[in-house]
Amino acid sequence: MEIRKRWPDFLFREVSITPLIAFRIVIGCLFLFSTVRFISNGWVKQLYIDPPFHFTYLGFDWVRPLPDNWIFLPFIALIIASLGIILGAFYRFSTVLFFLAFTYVELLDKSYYLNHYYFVSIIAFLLIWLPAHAQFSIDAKRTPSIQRTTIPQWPIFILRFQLGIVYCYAGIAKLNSDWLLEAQPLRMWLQAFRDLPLVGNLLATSWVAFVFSWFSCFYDLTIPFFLSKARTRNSAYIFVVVFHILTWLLFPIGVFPWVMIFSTLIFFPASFHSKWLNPLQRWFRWKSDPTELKSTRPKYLIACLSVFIGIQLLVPFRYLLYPDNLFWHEEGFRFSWRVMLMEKKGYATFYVEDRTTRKSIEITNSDYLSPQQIDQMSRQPDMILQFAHFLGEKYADTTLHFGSKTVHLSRPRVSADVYVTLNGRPNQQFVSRETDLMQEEYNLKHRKWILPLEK
Amino acid sequence: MKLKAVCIALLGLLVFTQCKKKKEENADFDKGPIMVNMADNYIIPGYADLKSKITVLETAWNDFLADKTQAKLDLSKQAWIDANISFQHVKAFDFGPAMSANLVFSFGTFPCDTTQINGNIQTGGYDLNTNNLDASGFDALDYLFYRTGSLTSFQNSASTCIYVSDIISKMKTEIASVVSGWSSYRATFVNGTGNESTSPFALLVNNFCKDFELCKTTKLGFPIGNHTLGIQQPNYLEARRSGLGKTLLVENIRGSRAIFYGLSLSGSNGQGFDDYLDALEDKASLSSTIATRFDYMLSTPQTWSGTLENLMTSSPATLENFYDYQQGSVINMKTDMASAFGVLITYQDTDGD
Repeated sequence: MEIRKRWPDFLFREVSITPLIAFRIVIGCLFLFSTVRFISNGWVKQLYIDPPFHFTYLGFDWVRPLPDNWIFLPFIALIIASLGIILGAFYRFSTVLFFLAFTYVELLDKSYYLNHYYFVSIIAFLLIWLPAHAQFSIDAKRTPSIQRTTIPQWPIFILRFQLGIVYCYAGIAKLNSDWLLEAQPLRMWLQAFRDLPLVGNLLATSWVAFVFSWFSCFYDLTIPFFLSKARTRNSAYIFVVVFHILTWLLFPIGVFPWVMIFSTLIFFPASFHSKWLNPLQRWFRWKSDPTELKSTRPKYLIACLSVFIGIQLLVPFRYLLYPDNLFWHEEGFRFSWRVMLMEKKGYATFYVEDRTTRKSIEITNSDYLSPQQIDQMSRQPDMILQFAHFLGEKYADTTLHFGSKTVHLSRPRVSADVYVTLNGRPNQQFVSRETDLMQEEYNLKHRKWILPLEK
Repeated sequence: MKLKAVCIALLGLLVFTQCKKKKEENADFDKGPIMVNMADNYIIPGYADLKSKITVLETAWNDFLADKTQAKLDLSKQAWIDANISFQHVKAFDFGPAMSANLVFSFGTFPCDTTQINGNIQTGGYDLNTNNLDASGFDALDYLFYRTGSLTSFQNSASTCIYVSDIISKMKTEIASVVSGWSSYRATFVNGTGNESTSPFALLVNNFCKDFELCKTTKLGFPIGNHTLGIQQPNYLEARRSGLGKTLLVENIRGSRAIFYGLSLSGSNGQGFDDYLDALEDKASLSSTIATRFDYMLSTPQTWSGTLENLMTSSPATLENFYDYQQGSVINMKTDMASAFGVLITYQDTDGD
């Protein structure tokens, strides 16, 4: 009874629109920056044009890269859409365009999956439905009737909620014995910084790794709550900045720290954002002329928000549906904010076998895959299977000429010999040649052909 | 208040876990000396050695041209062997100046394309610098020096002699550019101890692994039929006509071992990957595993009689087993060692918070 009233009351409480406007501008600039960075690093060609094979997502096999240089098209769309978001111009169109183009690019190849890309997709999706252009935007200039000074609080809440999810689940993911009791993988990674003057030897000592591990776990679990409280907000934000800059200095994690540093500004109240937005608005001679609208409380909106929140809360726990070690099997691993949890490296050799003679062709992975595809594939079961199936189909019903000898392969067996090291453990066999990977289906079921992690 | 209590509790747990696993903390270790040792005692002297051996080859060849006898040809052959062995010791460094000069592919591509070589000799007007990787380098000389009737063809065909001179002079130019390139690249190299994929330390580690893996695949895997349904491909053998392939395989492994131990060109031990592994937590056993594997890989071929091609018929299982052993060693290098060093294979962003 209570929740049925309190929940809508909470979602539709009128608050200032300013934090949302600020968020639109800041996140739009980040979108623009990271797209330009991606293109100027030459990654479009290296990641999407060069490799002949891509690891598609289950159910999204139909998402294929546009041919040749046409793949630049979605990236150009991303630039245009980011500008539209920053300026609040054709806002609905811009956000839809950004969401579609970004998600399209991400769906092309899962070996490039990063949690922060998933985060960007979600934020872009949310922005479509939020009235972030109802003030200080080209749309609001052209159509003054959309202008608002206050809005129901759900748009701001849902963004804060999403950030809270990222942090809390990243923290929950750290509650494992490798992280807490062994300080791995940080302990290994920090040892690589021994050369640094002054701090080098300090970083390499194991108690520093323990402090980092425990602190970052505590930080992830609690920071959204400290950011939510007015009393602790300022000092919490200092922690946010220091923490993310530290990770940016130590690890090659690209724009992610900046995404977090800037998007957490959504936790600040209107009074904070007015400090920088007001001068900016004066500079652009922005004149607000809001028409006071009475907000309604559509039922479908409450339902949609509840469903979205439910999904976000449940998806990271789907790994519980699988037996065995999560880090080893990686079933239910993605889309769950598990960041920097593993130092995992593998070495995978594939064999295409003639079923009758049991003689085989050892595959040179680099003939088909880029170095980063090989790096990811060699330790991720679903990708190992996808690559095996690709090879099986490639060699199916082929006649091969080796010197004077000719061999016909009708339906070859494909196997793999894979060894993986996880968080500093000595390498262990991951997949053995006894499994005919062509007999294994690519689906969401538990993969029994992965040899268990010994300890 | 509550927060303080939580912090104290966490700290307590931390101290507890620490006490449980008290062990010796890391001693000082700096990657800088590995880089300095590699550069000054191995790479730079190695390239200088290769350069001087190419010069010896050039001199021997010019002597032969002045007096085309079997004895003089044999001297050229010996100079070719010495230079080729010297190359095996530095071929792993496919970055910096060597990459700019494309040295590794230019010198070491095999098997050579004999049709293309003969076509070039017949028609002339070739440019060895374009589309002729298969028709130049050590393996092309293997064909021209060691094919049946090589002496006669040199005596009778001026264009064949010119072709050999052209190959040697191309190699001389390339190694000279690498040697001079290292005089300025050295500074970049010895200071490049970062872990990003483009840092010299990462390049050294990644190329060490890559070269060892290539040695296994190209020198042994292809010829013994591992990529061709078990059907042997002797035409893929390196230096097939001279039968030097076995030596080159061993010398390539010797080169990898030298990098791993941080040996000088003359073989005295300095700072290398093994010392780094020893200094890292719990990695000393990995270091000794890899060391043992190198010992085995260097000693085993000494028990083989005949060339690789002989062994392919007389005892193919010997080579297959050796190949598997090499493969097992690649696993140690590319998973455990690369992981322990924390170097990146790719340049792309990784996941972080």
